[in-house]
Amino acid sequence: MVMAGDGRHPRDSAEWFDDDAGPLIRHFAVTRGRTHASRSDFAMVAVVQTVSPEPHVDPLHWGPEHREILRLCRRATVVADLGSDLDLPLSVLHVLLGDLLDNGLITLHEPFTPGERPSPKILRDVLHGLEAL
Amino acid sequence: MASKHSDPEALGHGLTALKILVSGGFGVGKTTLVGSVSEVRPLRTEEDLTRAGSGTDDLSGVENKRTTTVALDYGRITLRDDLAVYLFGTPGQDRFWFMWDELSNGALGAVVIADTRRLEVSFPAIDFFEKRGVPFIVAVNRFDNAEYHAPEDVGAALDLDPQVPVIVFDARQRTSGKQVLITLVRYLLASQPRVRDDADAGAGG
Repeated sequence: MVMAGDGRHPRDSAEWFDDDAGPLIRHFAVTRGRTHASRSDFAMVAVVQTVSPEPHVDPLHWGPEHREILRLCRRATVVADLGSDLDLPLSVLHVLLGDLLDNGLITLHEPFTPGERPSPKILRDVLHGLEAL
Repeated sequence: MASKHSDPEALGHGLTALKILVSGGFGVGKTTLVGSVSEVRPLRTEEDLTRAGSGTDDLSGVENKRTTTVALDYGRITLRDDLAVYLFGTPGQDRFWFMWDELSNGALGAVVIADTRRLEVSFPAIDFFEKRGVPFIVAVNRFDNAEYHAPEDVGAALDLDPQVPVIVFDARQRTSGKQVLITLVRYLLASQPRVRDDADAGAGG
């Protein structure tokens, strides 16, 4: 499980009881009421990275989830892994990523779009990787 | 929408993540396959119930609940620091059909798992991938109490294009599951349009 930079699990904040209760701060509060990403969709396997050098973000304007994403994405990270590590629903994560992207704090590389195929070299790398498992 | 693809060999900040779908009807072994070959990680999303086809849901007692949580556990196979394969199972329930579009977007290919005792549960997945042009193979999960059927017979029963590989496997066995993924990738290599001189691009499996 991912630990926040200060050694705190995201769920250790007092808002959490357990999985059934869910967070007392509902997800729409995290996203300030928005339910749709400002961009249409972030593919599950799109790669996110915090821009470098990492800009200072004002904690008054950016929530802990935004800052945690920026911290995790200092290293290129796949959207699905972010959702899993942060235990945030994808629908919520998409909104947060949209905020960060719109403010130029992250870059996003989407995987192959329909009709676009990986090169034979990548496929061969995958094949050899699988065979070596 | 994508950022620069100027260096196709180093997509995504040097990290290449490829998505493979694992599909088939309810109970054919999707979760078992993902679990046997990859590190399974929890993921969820919240979907609007109206979008999820609330007409088929029993909503009594939850009239105020407008979203539903959908579990989307996935599997990750890290091949190298800069290369990983992600396995996503397609939701089994009909009311989550709309999610198939999202999942299949940008997918490398798909594995349709079939159970010879009830082939019909895998028809919708095959239809979907054929219509969407997502390359797929069929993996027949060999259940202990199921009669053996030759792959070519299964392919004929499923009315598959003869080029689509059909492999018999055991979803519980890691080596067997691995062979399924290898078969898919070999098929993708063999069916690539305008393949250059690829020494190892032959169809296998």
